[in-house]
Amino acid sequence: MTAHQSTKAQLEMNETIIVLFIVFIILIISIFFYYQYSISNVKKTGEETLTTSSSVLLSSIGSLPDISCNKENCIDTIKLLAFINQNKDYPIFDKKTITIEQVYPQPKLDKICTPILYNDVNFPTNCKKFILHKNQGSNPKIISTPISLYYPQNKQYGIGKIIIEVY
Amino acid sequence: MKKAQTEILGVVIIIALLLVFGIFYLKFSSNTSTLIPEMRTNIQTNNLLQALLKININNEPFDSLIYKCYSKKDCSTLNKELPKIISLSLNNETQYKFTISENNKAFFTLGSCSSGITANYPISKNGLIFDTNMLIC
Repeated sequence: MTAHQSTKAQLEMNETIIVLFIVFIILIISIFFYYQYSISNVKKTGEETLTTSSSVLLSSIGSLPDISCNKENCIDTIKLLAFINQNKDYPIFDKKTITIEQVYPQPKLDKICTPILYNDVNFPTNCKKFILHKNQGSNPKIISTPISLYYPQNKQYGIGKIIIEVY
Repeated sequence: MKKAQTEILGVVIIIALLLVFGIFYLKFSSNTSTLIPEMRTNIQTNNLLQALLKININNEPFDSLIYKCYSKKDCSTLNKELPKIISLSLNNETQYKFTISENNKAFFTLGSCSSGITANYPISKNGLIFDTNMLIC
């Protein structure tokens, strides 16, 4: 083999190696972008699932037997207080803060309702919120819906708002 | 470089670029569903209407206020109190339209909203049937 042929062979081998190297780089870049796309897809699916479950909770929380009125679509405030005092927890409450805020009659004080305030003559205007479930976190997504509230002590109805903060 | 090698490299580059563009296209072409937001608005509309019909305003039941507005044309309490109550119950920027009709003739309307999710509920008072309608944009 002449020196010229040997050099030519080496050159061609180097060219092949470079080609393979470039192909390899392109493949790695493609896999990287596909991986990024898959990760963002999974995150999006997770967020959609959380949004769906929160919306389902929003629609069903007024019907929870622990707090709902017997035959109507409303929340019984005495049952609500009893439920809060028992510190009951449902798995669907996980990663959420659930508050029931009194809207009408409009509260005069921005306080959390307790059994002591409930038994006061000024109830329901002496407190604003019932906290059904508390969860720590930041940047919550907030969804809410109006709900009828029933006050058994004077057999009257008010309007409240169920507020769900999802973390 | 040999011609065949160059051509193969070109084909590989084209395929890789097509793959990358295809992935980006798939990512940005997905449509967001509006089903869940509509379901939430449906719940809000129904709950708000049912809650309103049960309350007393200035110690007068809501159905009596409706009858007073219809028969004596005195809708002052409804005009004064309802906007506050509804805006507190919904988010501030939510637009709505609340209508009360009797025999398909609306005699009380509050708010402006042309299309959205609607809820209806009939009320009977003094032998008359009133239709209440809440529309949330």
